[in-house]
Amino acid sequence: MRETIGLLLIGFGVFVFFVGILGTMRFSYILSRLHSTAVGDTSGVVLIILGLIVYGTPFFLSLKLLLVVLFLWLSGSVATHFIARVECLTNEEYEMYDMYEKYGKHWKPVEKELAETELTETEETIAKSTV
Amino acid sequence: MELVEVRDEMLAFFLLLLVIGIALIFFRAIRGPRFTDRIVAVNYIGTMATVFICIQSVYLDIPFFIDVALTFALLNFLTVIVICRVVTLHYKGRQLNLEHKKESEQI
Repeated sequence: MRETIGLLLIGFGVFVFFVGILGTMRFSYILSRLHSTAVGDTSGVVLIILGLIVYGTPFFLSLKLLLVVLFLWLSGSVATHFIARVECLTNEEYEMYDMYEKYGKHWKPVEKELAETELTETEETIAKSTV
Repeated sequence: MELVEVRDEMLAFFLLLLVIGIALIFFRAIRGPRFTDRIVAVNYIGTMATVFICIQSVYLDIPFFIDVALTFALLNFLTVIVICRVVTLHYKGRQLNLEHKKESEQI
């Protein structure tokens, strides 16, 4: 019974890892991919290690396994933060991403500004009158 | 009796699944359009390898493999931090170079 529960936990952890892999393969933007790998980095690791502890390891070995979990929790989030910071520093058009998603990859910022500043005649008269 | 045998071999099945996952995410490391994609993929491969070694130490009943897993996690963290640091410094240095060139052209 105990081993079955442990194997179920390990199986769920492997499933979470595959969810992270699916996000890494299918998402279209780097920060979304980073987010989906962070899922596997935290919850997948702790599920698998808890499953191994329940499956039957001696006491001190399970403490060592918990140490692995602790270190991966501390280091994984820091590494993810560093990667995101490097991405935001070096990618010059990462703020354009929403517009690319809406209007396609050949969208240019100049066209968008022109479309916004084009006013109809009534609006122009209103603006002149207020000025 | 057969059920118990299947249960004992489930750990090997999970090891096989993890190997397939590492092979899948390796495509992202090859295909990624920018270098950050490759860093993300390498980080994920490192995490999966750490978990792989932990499962293997229980499956083969070799206790000291957990120490190897801990060392692997440390090396994985160090790799990501060093690569990010080097890329940041390189980028800032290149920006500074460009600014100096512009100033010298103006003079």
